[in-house]
Amino acid sequence: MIAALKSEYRKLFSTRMWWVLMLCAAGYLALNAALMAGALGFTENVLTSDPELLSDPETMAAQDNPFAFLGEEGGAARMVYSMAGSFAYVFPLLIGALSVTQEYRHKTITQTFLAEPRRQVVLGAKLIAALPMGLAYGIGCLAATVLPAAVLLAVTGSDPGFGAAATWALFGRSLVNFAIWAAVGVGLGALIKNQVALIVVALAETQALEPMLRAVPTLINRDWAWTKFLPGAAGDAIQGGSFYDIMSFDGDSLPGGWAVLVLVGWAAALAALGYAANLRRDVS
Amino acid sequence: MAAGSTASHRLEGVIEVSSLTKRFGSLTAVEDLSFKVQPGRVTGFLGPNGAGKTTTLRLALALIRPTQGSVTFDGRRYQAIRQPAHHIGAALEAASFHPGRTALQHLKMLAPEVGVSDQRCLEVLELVGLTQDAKRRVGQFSMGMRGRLGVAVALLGDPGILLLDEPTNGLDPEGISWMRALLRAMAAQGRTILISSHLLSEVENTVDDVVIIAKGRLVHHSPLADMRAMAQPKTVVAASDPPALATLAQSRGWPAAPAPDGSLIITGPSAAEVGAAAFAAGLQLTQLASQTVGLEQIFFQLTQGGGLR
Ligand SMILES: Nc1ncnc2c1ncn2[C@@H]1O[C@H](COP(=O)(O)OP(=O)(O)OP(=O)(O)O)[C@@H](O)[C@H]1O
Ligand SMILES: [Mg+2]
Repeated sequence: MIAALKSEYRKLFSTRMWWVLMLCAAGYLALNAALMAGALGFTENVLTSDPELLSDPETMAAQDNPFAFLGEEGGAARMVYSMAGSFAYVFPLLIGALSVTQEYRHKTITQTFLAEPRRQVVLGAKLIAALPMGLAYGIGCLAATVLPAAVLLAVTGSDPGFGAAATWALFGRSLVNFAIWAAVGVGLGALIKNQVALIVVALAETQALEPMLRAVPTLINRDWAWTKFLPGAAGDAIQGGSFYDIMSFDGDSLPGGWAVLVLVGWAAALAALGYAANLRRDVS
Repeated sequence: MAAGSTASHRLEGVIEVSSLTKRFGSLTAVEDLSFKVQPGRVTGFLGPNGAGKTTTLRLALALIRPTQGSVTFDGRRYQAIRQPAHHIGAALEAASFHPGRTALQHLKMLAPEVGVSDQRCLEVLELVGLTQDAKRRVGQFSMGMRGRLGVAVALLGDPGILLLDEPTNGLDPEGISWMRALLRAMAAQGRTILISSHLLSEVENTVDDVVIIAKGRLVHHSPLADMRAMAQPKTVVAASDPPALATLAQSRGWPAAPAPDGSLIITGPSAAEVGAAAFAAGLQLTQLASQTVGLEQIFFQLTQGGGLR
């Protein structure tokens, strides 16, 4: 297994894909984080400059006030920082998935299976190798979000939030989220081994389908609790709060520990399906 | 070849294909195929396009699953062997690479799983003559260079058994003779070498044994020498006195068949022998020509009708 892991890392770092994807993620996040930090910093300024608004316990303490976070220390900052996980989980998803589909696309899977004919070991190595890869993407994505946002928050006179333990806890949970998403990607890649189909499905799911489904409880029926088990919802729950909360999109979310289990469950289920449908089959 | 060669000969090296059948839907690519490949020899695995050679090799390497039967290496199936690349090296037709990786990167990415050092990657590149191109991206490689890199992958684990699918494809004449020397040297070390080809002439100077299949079935298996013996000389001969010629052939015990144009086709003796006998008997020959059937023709006869389906 150690050998298989080492091979996996050499596969990843010997093509340009990992840093091209990382650059895309970083650029996308830096831009969005800067815009959001500017806007939220400004809003917070307005709110805090009006003591009436913030001191009104009725407004600020209300459970369903989506802007309650602005009253907390570094609340605005954390909301911006959480964008890394909420917006960019598609990138660890892709890097994990491409580690499978690239092998089928370029047919290097043949030589991989010749070296390790136990295909469940190959898949297991890819799943485990994905975790540190996802973590590394998380570090990159957080840096790309936090650095520009913190600067802008400071400029607009808001607290960048580094003094609050909650901020560091968010960073930690966000990294866990990134790591597991890469493993989910491996599972998805095993299930949809065609690279073009995979990219279409990954983008459609994360950018359209999931946000739409997660709006269901709010828009149609608050009692539909199943949407909190969707992978994106579980991921946000791991992070503990997300950008989508602002929009009051979500119903209730899972507790952090359960959310980890649910997302790991998604990775395992997709990998098992992918193994049954593709990996154990004839290689042509 | 030296590095690690002690470790690689733990397997004796007998490949046994038994009652192997593979169907793709309604198409039977390999049917009830059985043969053994011995170590210390180069075996040519021959058959026309679509005969089932590549399919058989993929079955042996557990890349596809047999409908029936098995292929074993010293009694063990490929997937039951730990670190199989140490024992069995393989290069399938049109080995595939990620175009963005260099030759060295490609080998290094396989090295941990195969179970060899990075140093070994450089050694095999040297062995296949790609040292100069080690740091070039495979996307820029010619077909022959890709073929060599495929062989480098096969040699990575210093295996005692080598399976090569059409190894001379895309090689220049110098490359073909290099390949021949490499395979002969490896067989001389006691390794088992199986190479496929759709042309007997391409491998006849390399192989000791031939396994010939057509339409997925075994049609011939013997040492190449035995097959050569099947290529008996034939002589077309005609004389001004045909009955006397027939009598001569009969008296010598030469099988002779009359041809439509009145000449005789004699099997066995060479044209020179027939000419000398006729001279001694005082016969005047009007025609004397050698019509020996080449190996390739025998190969063609064996596989006749076994071409593309
Ligand atoms: N994955 C597959 N699905 C369906 N049919 C297949 C598949 N692989 C091979 N075949 C068929 O099996 C038969 C044998 O093919 P195979 O590639 O083994 O022939 P071959 O002897 O290697 O021929 P060549 O000399 O052209 O390489 C062919 O008819 C081919 O079309
Ligand atoms: Mg073939």
